[in-house]
Amino acid sequence: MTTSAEQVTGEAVPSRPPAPRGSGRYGRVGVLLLLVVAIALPFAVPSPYVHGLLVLVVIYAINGVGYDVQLGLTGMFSMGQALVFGAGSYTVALLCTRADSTSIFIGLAAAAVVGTVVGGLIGLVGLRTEGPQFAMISLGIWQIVLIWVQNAVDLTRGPLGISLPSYGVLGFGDIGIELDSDIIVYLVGLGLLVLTVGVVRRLLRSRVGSSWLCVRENVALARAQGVSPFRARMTAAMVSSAISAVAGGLLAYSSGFVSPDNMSVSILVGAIVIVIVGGRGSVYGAVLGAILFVVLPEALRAADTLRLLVFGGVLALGVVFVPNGLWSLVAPIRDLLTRRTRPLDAGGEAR
Amino acid sequence: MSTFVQLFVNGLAAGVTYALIGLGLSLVFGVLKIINFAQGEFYMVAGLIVYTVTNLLGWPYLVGVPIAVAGAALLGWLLARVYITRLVRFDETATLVGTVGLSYLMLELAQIVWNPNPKQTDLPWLNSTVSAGSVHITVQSLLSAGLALLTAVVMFAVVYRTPLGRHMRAVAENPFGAALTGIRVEHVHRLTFTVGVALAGLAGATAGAAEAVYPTVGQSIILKGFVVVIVAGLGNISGAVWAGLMLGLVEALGSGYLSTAYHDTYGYLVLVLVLAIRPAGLARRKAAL
Repeated sequence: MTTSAEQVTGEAVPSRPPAPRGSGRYGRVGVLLLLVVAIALPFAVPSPYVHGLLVLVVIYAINGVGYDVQLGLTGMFSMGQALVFGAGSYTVALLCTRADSTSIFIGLAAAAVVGTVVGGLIGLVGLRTEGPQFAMISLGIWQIVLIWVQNAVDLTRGPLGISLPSYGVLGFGDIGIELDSDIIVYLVGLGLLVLTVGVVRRLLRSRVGSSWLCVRENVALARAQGVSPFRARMTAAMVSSAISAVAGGLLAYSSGFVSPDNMSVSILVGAIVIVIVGGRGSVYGAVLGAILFVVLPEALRAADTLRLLVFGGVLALGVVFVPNGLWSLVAPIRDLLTRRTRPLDAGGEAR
Repeated sequence: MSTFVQLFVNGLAAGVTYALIGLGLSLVFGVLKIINFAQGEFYMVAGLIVYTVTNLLGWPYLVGVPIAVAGAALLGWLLARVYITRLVRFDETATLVGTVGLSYLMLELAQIVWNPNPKQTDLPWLNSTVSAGSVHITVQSLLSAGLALLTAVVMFAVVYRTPLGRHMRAVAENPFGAALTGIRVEHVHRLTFTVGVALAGLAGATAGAAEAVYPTVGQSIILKGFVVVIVAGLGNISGAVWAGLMLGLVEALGSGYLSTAYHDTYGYLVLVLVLAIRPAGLARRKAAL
């Protein structure tokens, strides 16, 4: 429970507000260095297995950043994220099979549009309520659509799934680079991830982003300031869904196969784990969470059946014992390196 | 006409289960202010315990039911002791995430302890039917309904007529104020959580015996519970009973007259309609419990 003083200063106990500010000179250099490493990585390690993992990392990272917009930045617990992710996958699959369109520009843009619409519809129904009710309603909508997707064999081929007849093309028509290797998919995904992080961080410094944070911290105060909670949550739902649908679309291009698994519970639990482990409301934290989410199970060689068990445990214990996520442990080190002081940090607050 | 009566009776029989699930969810939300996403898993655990006790050990069903309810309650009490009382201190999103995690943890553990296959309790007398004219009902449905009715009456008596109930309502109203008057808030939290999940356990032990039980059954049961508590208004325990029966009727009539393929979606259609008209649920006033 937060006290009123904490609500006013915006320093809620469990969720740390992100820094809605520029990265600073050192921060920018650091990000650029990491980016260079990320680009060089697949060429330095010529292993198809590692390339496959890298692709999964960027897809989950994009999805995680998208989900963080709702769960972390706006404080909305939507359980419909697997639905928009899957909607993005199916959009790409149907464009490839029905419309013969292989351009990933068209495919991913269409996925983003479909995602925005689906997210907006979930919001239109669910955001008449808030908090736990919204979680329950979005869960219900997702389950209903999932039943429909499994039964609408004419459109989705049901549980059999749709195989993409050809690779996606980075370009228009037949002109462009085919996404025929994991390295290319990874580099495209990395570009999308940078774009996503940039857009979300830019939005955070805008009115829209401020309204998200404001609604998360104190709904009554937001109303008093003339910020409409419905509007803030609706924009968060739409932005978040657009990003997640793009991640879903990218997964369709990289795996070449789309089935109801693309909107299954493991997608949702994955997104929640990534945001909670990385740290709610820290955009970079979601990227960190995605790396751990993909790499750790591989490193531990956890059997596939044990994954949900481990993730369930991580969620249940994580929110209690590391409520601010791992990014809250990284951020102080970064601040030390960049000599940035935090005058209003939680340590300086009277608790 | 007799079709209608039959569907009506079937609906009420199913609605009793939904009412129990919703009652537990609403009670826990009212007092602890958390939505227990793992509520369906307690239904599942109790159902699997009944299966184990009756089919594998060969004990009588009527011994299995109390064992299963006690098992679910014990599990709930332990979880409340080590986990839930820590979780309630956090914000809304964290408590939701925590119980979602708990739910998958329990589900996956159940897949290891029992295997993922559906299990049918093999009791012919329980599934035999009693007839009144052209309307038929199974012995199991009568038994479930009777037990659920009894439990609901006892529970309302406890909440509104005993000192413990008064403490529950006080904590629901204002935990800080309750603590100031000397009420042990953590103790009330633990007891309430235990009672709430025991209600789901009772539903699992009775209704679960008629249908197949499997580790993921809680995931579909919890959806019904959500429809019930949102329609009734969160924390409204008497509303949850009515909403549960209503949901059973809507599903039975919808399946009977429209299509059985979308049996599970009718509830959510009603929910969307209710929300469109009354976003706070059908409750007349905002009650703490």
